[in-house]
Amino acid sequence: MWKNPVDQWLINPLANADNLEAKQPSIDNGLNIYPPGRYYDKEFMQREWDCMWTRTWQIACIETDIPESGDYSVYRLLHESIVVVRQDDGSVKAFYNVCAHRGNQLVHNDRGSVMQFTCSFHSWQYSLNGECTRITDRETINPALLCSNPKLTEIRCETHAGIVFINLDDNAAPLVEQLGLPAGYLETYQLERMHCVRHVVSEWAANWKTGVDAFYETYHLHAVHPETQDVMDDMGVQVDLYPHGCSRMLVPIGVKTQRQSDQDSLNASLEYMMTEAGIAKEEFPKTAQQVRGAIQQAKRKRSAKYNLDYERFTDGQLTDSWATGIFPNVQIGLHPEGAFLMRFMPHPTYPQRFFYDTMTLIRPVPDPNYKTPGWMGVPEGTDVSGEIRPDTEYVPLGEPPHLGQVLDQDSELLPLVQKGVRSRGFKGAIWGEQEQRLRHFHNELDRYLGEETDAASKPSL
Amino acid sequence: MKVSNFVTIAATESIEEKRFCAFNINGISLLICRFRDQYYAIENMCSHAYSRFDDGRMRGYRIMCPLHGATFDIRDGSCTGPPASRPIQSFPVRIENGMIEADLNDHTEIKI
Repeated sequence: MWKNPVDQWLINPLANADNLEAKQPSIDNGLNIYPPGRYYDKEFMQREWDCMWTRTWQIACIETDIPESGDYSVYRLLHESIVVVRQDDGSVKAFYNVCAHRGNQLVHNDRGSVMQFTCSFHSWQYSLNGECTRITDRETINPALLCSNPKLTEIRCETHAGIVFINLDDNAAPLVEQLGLPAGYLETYQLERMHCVRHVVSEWAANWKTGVDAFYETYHLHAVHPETQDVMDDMGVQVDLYPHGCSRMLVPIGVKTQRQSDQDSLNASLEYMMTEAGIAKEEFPKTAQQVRGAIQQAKRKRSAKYNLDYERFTDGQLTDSWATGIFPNVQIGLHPEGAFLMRFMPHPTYPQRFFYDTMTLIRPVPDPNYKTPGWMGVPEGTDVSGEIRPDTEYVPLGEPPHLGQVLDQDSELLPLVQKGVRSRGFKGAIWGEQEQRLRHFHNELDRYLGEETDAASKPSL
Repeated sequence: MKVSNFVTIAATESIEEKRFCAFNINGISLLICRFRDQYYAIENMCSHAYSRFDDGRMRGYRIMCPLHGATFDIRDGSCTGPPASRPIQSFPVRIENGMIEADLNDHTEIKI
């Protein structure tokens, strides 16, 4: 009987079950090969809207984007625009961004701050909790038309670990029941103390799931991102599946790929990572196999120096990327110093386009000697104080997102994959165990769409 | 040759960090904004629907119109967010003996 070798790729074989590094029990998602129409059919896109997008919890923004009463952030989901606003009591509410009078959009910016919402068409006003507080020339409107008490249409909204989630389904289960990640998983990273220092929305010529699929595996690194092979072990990635379509990859950083026969000699990438961690050249370890541990020790020292409280992290968390997928359309690359929050947003009209929406989150450290790690890719001169929320940068179709070499490589590749998937010669993806997160994600999607396969027909965990 | 006309507006400590105050000087309504201990002077009227900013909010270098949410950069008055599309006027500022002074010579009336 064939034994899955990837299940033996463990980041920490000694981790107890209550350790967040512990390998999760495997889930049998079957061996389906999905018809490729899901990547380009307009009918499939419509079913995703009807059955999935309108029924799932989705990340609308982060809490530090709306710190004070009246601060709002807009979440665009296909043709919908949703405004998420901080209330006077500190809670967060979400509304469709539409005036009850004539349907004009209430707010026009990605983010802002108001005492109340005033429609720019006829000046109807709404309080932060959605109640209509002014109808201009009310006496000129037949009261029968106002008896339903017009107000903003509210949407389910909950916060968790510094993240604001919305759900268009009034009857959806509470977020805590739908979020498949264990308690403490996201909280450890204290996202509520991180601030967005760069936000890019880039349009790519591919289906949103083509994007998710690419970012959910490291199998392609050797081919698409060969420069990562000197510092990232794609053959040692621990893959874990969680309930409700969530999953993760623990990607060891500070080690060479096992594809390289020379595991001893240092290279420029490893030396760069050590320098970034504050290790002086004369203190570099002698072999590449000692680098990851040396970086972990250096980060512990840095934590003590700047009061970063890294005691809450395992050694692995200090070096590795905890690439965590939250169904349906999110992957967060979690690091102690910051996070990369990626949302794969469907195009409102075309199934073969999506928006790669990525926020770089940094935990500000108020010490002039502390430097944001260079590998986080924050451009020179970026304000990382957390006091200035940058505008979202919009990158049109066909232009590279300029988010660094790796992401530019992905943006070049995905349109080619999308074209191939559309071919009559393609019969559906053959996913290996390095790609098991993809099957888990698609099976969960199919549960929403009512397309349960034999293996997937098991109840969602 | 351009002639400046710096007018004393207020004491620096009268404006809190990350806050702004409105002043009427010689018939001109203007805002003095303070961020990172720098002071900026802009006209107190949105270029979209001509609302005053008195009840607006300031975040970083950005001021937001309280009526429809248009945003402007306090450093130069440039429009940074809809529904406005035109800038507002900004005025040179200097600090003299703890007092904020603004050069209002270039002020032009908005034609509504």
